[in-house]
Amino acid sequence: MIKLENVTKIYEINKEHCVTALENINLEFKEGELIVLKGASGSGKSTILSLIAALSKPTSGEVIVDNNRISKLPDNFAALYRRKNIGFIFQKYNLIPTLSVKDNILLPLVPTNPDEKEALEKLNQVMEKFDISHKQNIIVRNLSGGEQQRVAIARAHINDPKIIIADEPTANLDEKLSLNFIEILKKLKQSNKTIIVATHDPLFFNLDFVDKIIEIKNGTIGDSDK
Amino acid sequence: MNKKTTYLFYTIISLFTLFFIQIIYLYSTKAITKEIKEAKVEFVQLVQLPDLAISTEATYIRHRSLADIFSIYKDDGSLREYFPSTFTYSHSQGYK
Amino acid sequence: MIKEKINLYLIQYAINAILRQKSKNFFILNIFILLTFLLTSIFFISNSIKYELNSTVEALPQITVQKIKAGKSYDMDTSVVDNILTITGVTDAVARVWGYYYFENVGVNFTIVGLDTYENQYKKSFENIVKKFDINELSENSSMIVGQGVYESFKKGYYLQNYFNFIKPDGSIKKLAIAGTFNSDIQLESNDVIIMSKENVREIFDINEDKTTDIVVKVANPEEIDTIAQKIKLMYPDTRVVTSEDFKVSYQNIFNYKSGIFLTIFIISLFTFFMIIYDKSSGLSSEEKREIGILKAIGWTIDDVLKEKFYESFIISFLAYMIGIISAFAFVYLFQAPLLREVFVGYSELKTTFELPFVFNFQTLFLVFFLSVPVYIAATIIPSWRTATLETDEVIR
Repeated sequence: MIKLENVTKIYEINKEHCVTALENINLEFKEGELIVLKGASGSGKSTILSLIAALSKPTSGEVIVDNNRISKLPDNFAALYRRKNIGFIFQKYNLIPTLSVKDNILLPLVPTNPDEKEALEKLNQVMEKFDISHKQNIIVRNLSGGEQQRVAIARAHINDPKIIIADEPTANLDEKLSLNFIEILKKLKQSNKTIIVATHDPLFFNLDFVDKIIEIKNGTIGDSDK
Repeated sequence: MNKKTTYLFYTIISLFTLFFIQIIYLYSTKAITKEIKEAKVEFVQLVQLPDLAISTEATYIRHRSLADIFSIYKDDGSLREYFPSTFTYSHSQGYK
Repeated sequence: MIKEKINLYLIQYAINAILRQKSKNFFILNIFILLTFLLTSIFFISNSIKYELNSTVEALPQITVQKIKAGKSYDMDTSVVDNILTITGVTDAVARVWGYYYFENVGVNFTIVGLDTYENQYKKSFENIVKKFDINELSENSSMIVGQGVYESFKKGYYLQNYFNFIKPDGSIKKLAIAGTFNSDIQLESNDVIIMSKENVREIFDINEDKTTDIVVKVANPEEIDTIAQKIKLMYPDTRVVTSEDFKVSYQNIFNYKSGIFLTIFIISLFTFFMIIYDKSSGLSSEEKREIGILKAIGWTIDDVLKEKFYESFIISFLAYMIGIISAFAFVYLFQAPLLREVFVGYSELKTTFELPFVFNFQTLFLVFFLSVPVYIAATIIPSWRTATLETDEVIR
């Protein structure tokens, strides 16, 4: 379902200095799998997530999702692809701090101009699922870290995407909240979505419901487990 | 529509309404009526001099269209010089 | 169906975005309103003055002949009238006596115009334009009709009775009674005018019987005005001949003399406006850039982002425009433009009313709209477009 074929990504910092984030990567994920990308910071796992979400384009190689080549999509089509298929949970959450919880969660739906009732229904569903309904009118910057993460997860979910991507989801959480997140992950797995998590948190490396753990080292693939 | 959008909508509607009310009111009270225009025309026919009595401080502004080119230097000795720059800063007020 | 076209969620987001930077946007809104208000007020005033002038331009003399001596306007011989009457096409030529009288006590100028006699032909006109007059008093030679401002000046200069003492060039006094004042409706034209008999004007200004201030000529065929004007100029090379066409041109250029002030105000407004535009278009803050990046990451296309920015800037600029022009209407036509009218009136002591006629000029409103709203919208959208077309990944990191 998701394929990376000979993907290389080079970042040009300036005219002299280039950084090779990924070198000749080949990966394949099936639908409904929960994959953990393991690796230290700077190893290139966030880059893989960006490429799958069409947030950036590979320097060479192809990214294929559901038989569609998304690596060369023009900007507007890439955004539409993301709107339909991707739910991204960013490391820093990337919420709009001055908007309320429900306004943040609704954001992905805004450009589609949905029917008011439909939108409200989806919103309530998603807020209940991630236990954030009681704070729906609160401005996001007044929430705790864990609550903000739940808002980020809810936002990633509202458009009912096929692929959910999480970049270092537990980097800013304590152990209790990290375990909470893992519970949420378990729930998500049950809904048959393809989930890709990039992390260097060892909590993820011994979970029984994870389908694949792939190690990324210096832009190349190390060993994979399972 | 949420509260803020509704406020905005009503604000724009009220601005438009105010605009039209203003136009209608001004048109009916402040526009030159036929009678007033006739009175003005009659006066000008009587006096036969151009321009409005808006600037009367220098004679060559009062009936501008009839003033000659060098009028700036022509004024009565009891009047101070009038020159465009005196619009930015006034001359001294003491005539008496 | 309308709901399909207008995305209310997007508008809501735009409103929230505006409120997110409340003080900054409030400041921009106010500057915008002030500039629109100032510019529109000036346009309204000049439009109204031009309208006022143009409504009476047809009543002005077709040809006016003045004598110029040593670069100054001078009295001419009355015999010139007879010679002008001999030109074919001329139906009438009248010698005029008029001039300016300086009332030193108050520091004002009066325009004194001499009429032949107060005959019955004037009676009807006077009924329309003069309030409170006694026709009997008028037929006597020692009375005059004055404008509102003149009457006020008399009062200021301690003349409380219904007469005025003119000081003649030889120092002696000429006393004239006030038979009436001109209607307030025609104040803009008549405020400083005094009408009296020609003999009285000659006496006050010491102009001989055989001299005249200028000559007005009537022509049978309006198309021939220029030809006859040229003929007069040929006959009398030391004259200046002003035609009705010249009046019309002069009315068009009405603000040339004072264009310095307007130019200054206009330039300051433009500068302030463009400073705001420059600040906006020189790029977004890193926070604003990140926001666009986030929106794109969660599935907003460039078009969606630009649409939202359009709503944001349109709301501010359109509100500012509407409030500006509504305030300008009230300021000019209801309150007679306090402070601003001083620019037009100058420092004249003889103040006239500033009750200008209401003129609805679509072009003015359009001009102000297109000078402000699209420019501001463009200044907001262009930097957003620049950011939105960057690779999303770069913007978020």
